[in-house]
Amino acid sequence: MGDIISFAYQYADSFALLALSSIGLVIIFGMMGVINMAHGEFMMIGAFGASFGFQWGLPLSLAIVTGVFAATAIGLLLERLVIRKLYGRLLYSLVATWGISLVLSQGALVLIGPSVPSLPNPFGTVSVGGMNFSVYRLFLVALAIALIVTLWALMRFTNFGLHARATMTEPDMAEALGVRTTRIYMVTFGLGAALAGFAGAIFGLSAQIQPTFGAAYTPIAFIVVVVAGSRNIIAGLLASALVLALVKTSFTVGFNILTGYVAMLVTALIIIRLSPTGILDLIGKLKALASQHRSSTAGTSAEETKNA
Amino acid sequence: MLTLTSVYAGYDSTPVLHDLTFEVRRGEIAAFIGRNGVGKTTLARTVIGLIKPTQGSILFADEDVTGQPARSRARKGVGYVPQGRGIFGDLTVEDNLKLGRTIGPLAPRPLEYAYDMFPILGERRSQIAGTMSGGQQQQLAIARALIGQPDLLLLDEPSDGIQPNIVEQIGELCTKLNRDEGLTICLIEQNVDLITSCAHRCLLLEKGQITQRFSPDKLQDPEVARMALAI
Ligand SMILES: Nc1ncnc2c1ncn2[C@@H]1O[C@H](COP(=O)(O)OP(=O)(O)OP(=O)(O)O)[C@@H](O)[C@H]1O
Ligand SMILES: [Mg+2]
Repeated sequence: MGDIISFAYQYADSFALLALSSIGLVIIFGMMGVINMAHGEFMMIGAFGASFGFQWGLPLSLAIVTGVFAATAIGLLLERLVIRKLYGRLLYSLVATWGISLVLSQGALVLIGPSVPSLPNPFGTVSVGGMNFSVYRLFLVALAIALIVTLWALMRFTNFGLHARATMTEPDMAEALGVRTTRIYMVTFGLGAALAGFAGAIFGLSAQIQPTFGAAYTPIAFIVVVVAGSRNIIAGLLASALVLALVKTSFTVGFNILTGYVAMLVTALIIIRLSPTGILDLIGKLKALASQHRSSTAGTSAEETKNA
Repeated sequence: MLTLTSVYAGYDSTPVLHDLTFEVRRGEIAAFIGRNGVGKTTLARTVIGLIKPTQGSILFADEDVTGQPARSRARKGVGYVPQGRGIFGDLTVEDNLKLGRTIGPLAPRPLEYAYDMFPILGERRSQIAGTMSGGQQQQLAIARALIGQPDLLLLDEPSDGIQPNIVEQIGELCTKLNRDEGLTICLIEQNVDLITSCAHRCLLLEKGQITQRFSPDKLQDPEVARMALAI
């Protein structure tokens, strides 16, 4: 029993880490086919902003909001100046955002220095049935779920979401119906930057905040995003994070943390080898295969009855 | 309502429209005909604004819209039903219809308007649009354009791959909307029955220009039909 609870706790914790570190990246990639190499730097800006806000005497929650604002503002500015010209051009956008990431991290190093004061972590631990759980980790899990649900509701129930879904699949047709697609792209990029900044500020509660801060999370985020694909942002993110977290946790528990990461990477490679467009299409293919198998076995048995 | 003057447009490597000039008057149903690959779809995409002309001007409702993006033209009242229907296949029928609400300057019509026009859309409102049949998707595309109360409806081969009774229905709908609401329609078509059932005038597109204008009755002449249509 204790093992199961401990596994579930670790699984949820991995899921939260994967989901939170990738959510902003997944949105931007899903909406506009742009891999934002500066994702980690947006996280860094979120954490820096929160740290500064806290030093100015803001309460922690408002300090985090400051970090989100900073990341959003810089994200919107970059969208206007650079990203807008690169929509749908994967390689250009890779190079350009990579350049931006270098400028941002080096700029932070030069202007602000190698590190800023840490944020306090207000969370303690709870112990249930003799086991200790970090409230901070449980909070991350709740936050990941809340963000995914909010995002789902935004896409599903609002006019913005409808226009965004239309723009994502058929930008020309959306435009021809009067959808302001450039604005949709701008808002989405801003949203992606905001979520990256938010994740950064939250992770900043438990990590040292420095210009290379994002580097701890970006490899994970990139793995999650390629597995998530760009067909359906929320379902892709969920499926990707759930599956990869399961692999990571299983191998971490069975062997060690390093094996967990390696297994997660290998799984990701297998998934995109089988289905370059992501896990949702793989699931679709498997479903089709299963039903084909079912109908072909049904077909043979019908054949056999007829022959008999 | 719509005036193109000396318009040149095409794709990077292929110029298609070449010194194209024509006018469609308010309250008119104009049929654009021409052989396959002559540039009818290019013309429609240029009118809505998805292709930028390299030269020439486009006037819609007496306003020069040449430099405006497609969204502005749609919002000013151009309803576009592309060849191939342009349905959002992952979205529901209802969501597809809602996307027509940004068309036109007036308040959009309620979705019920579409369901009254094509009852099948009402029955299938929560179905994923990509799983609808071709004919149903065509009805959806037309209804979506009409939801926003356009002043000009741009139909690109609505009869393409559609069974005769639905084609007939589309013809009747065009006539009715034109008569009751004064809707101006640019109908790009190959289907003689549909053209003769509703169009007031035919404009023949050849080598990137309108070379002839004649009455739809003329299409009954097999000689004319062979020259003008891809049959
Ligand atoms: N995206 C594109 N890139 C390059 N050339 C194109 C493109 N789309 C169309 N063309 C070319 O432009 C010309 C006109 O094409 P268009 O689709 O406008 O013809 P159409 O009259 O609509 O034909 P159809 O009756 O078959 O629909 C054709 O020669 C076509 O090959
Ligand atoms: Mg065509």
